[in-house]
Amino acid sequence: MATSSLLTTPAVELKGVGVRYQLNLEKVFSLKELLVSKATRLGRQLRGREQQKTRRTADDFWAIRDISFSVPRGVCIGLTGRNGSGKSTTLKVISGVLHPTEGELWVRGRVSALIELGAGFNPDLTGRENIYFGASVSGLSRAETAKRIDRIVDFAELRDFIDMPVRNYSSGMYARLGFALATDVDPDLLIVDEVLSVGDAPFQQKCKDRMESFKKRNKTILFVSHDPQAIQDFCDTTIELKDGRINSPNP
Amino acid sequence: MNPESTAAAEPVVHIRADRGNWDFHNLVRAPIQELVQFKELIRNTVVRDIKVRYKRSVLGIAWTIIAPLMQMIVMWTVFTKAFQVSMPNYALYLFSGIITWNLFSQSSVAGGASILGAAGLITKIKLPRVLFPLTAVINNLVNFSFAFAALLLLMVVTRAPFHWTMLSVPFMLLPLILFCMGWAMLVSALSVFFRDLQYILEIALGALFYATPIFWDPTALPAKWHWVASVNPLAKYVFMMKASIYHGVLPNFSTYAIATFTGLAMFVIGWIVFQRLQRKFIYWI
Ligand SMILES: Nc1ncnc2c1ncn2[C@@H]1O[C@H](COP(=O)(O)OP(=O)(O)OP(=O)(O)O)[C@@H](O)[C@H]1O
Ligand SMILES: [Mg+2]
Repeated sequence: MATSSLLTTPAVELKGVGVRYQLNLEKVFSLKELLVSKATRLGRQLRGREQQKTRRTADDFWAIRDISFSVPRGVCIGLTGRNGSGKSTTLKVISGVLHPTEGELWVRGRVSALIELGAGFNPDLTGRENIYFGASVSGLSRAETAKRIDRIVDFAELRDFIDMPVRNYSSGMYARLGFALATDVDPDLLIVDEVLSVGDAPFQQKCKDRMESFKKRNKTILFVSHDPQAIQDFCDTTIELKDGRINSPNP
Repeated sequence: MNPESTAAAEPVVHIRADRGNWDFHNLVRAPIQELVQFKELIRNTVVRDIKVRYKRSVLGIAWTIIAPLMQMIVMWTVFTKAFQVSMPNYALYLFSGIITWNLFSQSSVAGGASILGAAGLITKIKLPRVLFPLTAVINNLVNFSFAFAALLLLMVVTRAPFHWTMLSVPFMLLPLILFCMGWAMLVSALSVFFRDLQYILEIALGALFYATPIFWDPTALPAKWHWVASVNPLAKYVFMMKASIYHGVLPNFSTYAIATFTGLAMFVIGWIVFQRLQRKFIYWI
């Protein structure tokens, strides 16, 4: 196994990652107030209050903190935890949407993140136009998309609706198109944030099959779901988050 | 070479919470590589914005021509009838100024709002955010070219003389485009943090319109007002455009050099401010 660093370096590695939201942002009206709030923050930091590792201070909120784990290649890890425990925040940091406040991380390989299905869709454009647009959002060229479009439409089972504005889609159809598009790319790392629950039962089964095939092809998967059964079916290990911190030791 | 990249040609992303060093790579090379990688998205964003804007309107794309023409007709009526301005081909004089001004003002309004407007994408998908203000400007450049076609038509209809200097219009546009892009990047980044900026901008644009030689003639300006035309960069851009379209002369070298330098400087400032602030957008959007 250890002959190649490709196999030994983990696909994802987080070291002490934290994300701090500043509350009361709406109170900052003017430059003057901004400077005052910066100064008080600095003062607090100097007095060491920032060192207290509470999740919430007067105007700060740590959505996640001290998150360290690594995901070996080809492993499917489930992230669990109550609402607001920081699962989506963690995934956003890994997918590169959210720049962390502290810590560092490495992500190796191409990433496809399903944080929200059809996030880039425009209601006034047709399904087909949105596929081209959505594919370019993940950096695909027009020619590459043209090769995939039939497969995407077939998987979403939307052949009859594909030239209709997505404004007229049901929310399930919308999500199906989003899922078909996002998983048709061939990522090394797939990030899935509880998006499988939207479609109807047959479509959910298809999604599960597709995820299985990702696993078979030794792709790395990070999976968030509130469905314990799904977690148990898919994931090799789980990481539980609680109040923005890891609750279980890194396996 | 770092050990990770020897394994294969797989991309390795290393993200650190600290500011990072603002060297050539982080500030210039990496963002440009990203933009090149997403060129299809840039193209699509421009096309989509045009499609969506007129999708449900009867006259559709014709509005990009009708709106500035109407603007011109209103102003022409006011200034020739009420104020008795008697400049030859005053309609052309107005129209060439209006479409140049619109390129700037609409770029700064649309570009300035582009980051807040793309919040849905920015908070969910990783993409080069600078493409939003840039495509807003490109979009208005498309509008400009439609309006320019209307300008040619206007010249035929009003029997205005065609000067060979009109061929220089693309060169007159270049510094203005740089200026608009820089300005759009700057305003879009700052308005994430100061929402009031968009309202301030609207008022400022209203004032700037009068400080720009759109309906008035800069050569007829009393000496004590000359400073207006020299501090206002827009005055230079509009003046250059009118020189080549209306007056049939090329601006002298120093005017063009200053205009280019101003545009370039604005672009660099906008780019740097944008790249430095963009990581924080998502926390404020
Ligand atoms: N923009 C924001 N500003 C302030 N706080 C935020 C912001 N976004 C998220 N949070 C906070 O961060 C915490 C973690 O949110 P996150 O979305 O990661 O939770 P989650 O584990 O995905 O929850 P769920 O199971 O409901 O999806 C929450 O307490 C939330 O209130
Ligand atoms: Mg969540």
